[in-house]
Amino acid sequence: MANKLLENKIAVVTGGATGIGREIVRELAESGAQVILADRNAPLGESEAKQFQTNKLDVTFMRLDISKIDEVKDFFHNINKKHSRLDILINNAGIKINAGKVTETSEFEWNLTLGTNLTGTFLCCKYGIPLMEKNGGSVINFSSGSGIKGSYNSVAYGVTKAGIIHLTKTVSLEFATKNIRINCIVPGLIDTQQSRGSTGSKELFEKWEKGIPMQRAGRPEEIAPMVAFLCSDQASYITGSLFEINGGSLAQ
Amino acid sequence: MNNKTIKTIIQRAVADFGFRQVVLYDFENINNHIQEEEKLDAEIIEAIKDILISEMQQLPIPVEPDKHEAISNAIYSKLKLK
Repeated sequence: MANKLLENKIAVVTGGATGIGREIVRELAESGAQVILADRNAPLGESEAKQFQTNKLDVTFMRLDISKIDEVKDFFHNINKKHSRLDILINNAGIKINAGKVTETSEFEWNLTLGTNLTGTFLCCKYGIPLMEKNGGSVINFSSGSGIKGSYNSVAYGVTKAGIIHLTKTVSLEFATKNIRINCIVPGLIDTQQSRGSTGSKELFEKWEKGIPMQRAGRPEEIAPMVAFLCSDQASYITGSLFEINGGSLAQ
Repeated sequence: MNNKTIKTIIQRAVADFGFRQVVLYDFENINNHIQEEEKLDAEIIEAIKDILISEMQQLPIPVEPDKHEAISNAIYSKLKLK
C-alpha cells in the first residue's frame, strides 16, 4: 500500500478505464484519494470501478466523452453538486489516428483528433478548474514525445500534443497565485492497448522499442507514481513543468 | 455510395485502432466524420451499427497487417447488405 499522500482528495481521471489512465486511478486511490474514473466506455469503466471497489479502493465510474462539450459541462456540474469541489484533474484521455502524411490526412481525421485531444483537454480545464478555485488543486495534462519532436504518420496527433504543452504552460501562469498547479507528463512509448493498437503490428512495436535507449517500452505503473507525486503537497512549488518519462528517448 | 463508404469504414477501423474508437464510441455521429459526398443514409447506419460495433469489439489489438483484408471482408460479409 502506497503512502497516503492524497488522503481525502477528490480526483478525476479521464480515460481511466484502460492503460495509463487505469493505473493512475489505482495509484491515486491507493494514495488515499476518492477517484472518479471517467471514460466513454461505460461497460468497461463500470466493471473496472467495481474491481477497484472489490479491492477496497474508493473509485466510482462516471461516463464522459471529453470531445462533447455538453457532456463535459454536465460532468463537472455533477461533480460540483456531489462533492462541492475538485482537488485533482488528470487529463489523460486521448486518441491517435494513423492518417498518413499531411497531404493524406482528411479534415475529418484532423478535426476528430484535435476535437478529442486538444479541445477535450481544454474543455476539462475550462469546466474543471473552477471547482478548484476555493481550495486549490492540481491538474496533470498528457502530452507525448510526438508533441516535442516530429513523428511520422500522425501530424494531427503531434499537433495536439504540442498544443497541450502550451496549454499547460499558459494555464499554469493564469492560476499560479491561486494554488492551482498545472503540469504535464510527456510519456514515450508505453506498453498499452492503445500504443500497440496505434503502432499497427507487433513487429513495428518491437522495432520502436529497440530504438529507445533503454530498449523497451515503459509500463503504465512507471508513469502513475509521478502523477501521484505531482498531485501531492510534496510538489507544492512545481507548476507549468513538463516531465518526460520515456526511457531516454528524447535524450537522443 | 453506401456500400463503398461502409467498406472504407471497415477497412480503416480494422487497420487503425484510433479510427476503430470512432466506430465503437461515436457511431451515431459517424456521418459527421465522413466527407459530404460519401455520407451514409440514416437507415443504413441503424441497420449496420450493432453488428459493426460487436465485430470491432472482438478484434485483436492490433490486427496484424497481413490479416487486414481477410478480416475486413469477413466483417463486410456479415452485414448482409444488398
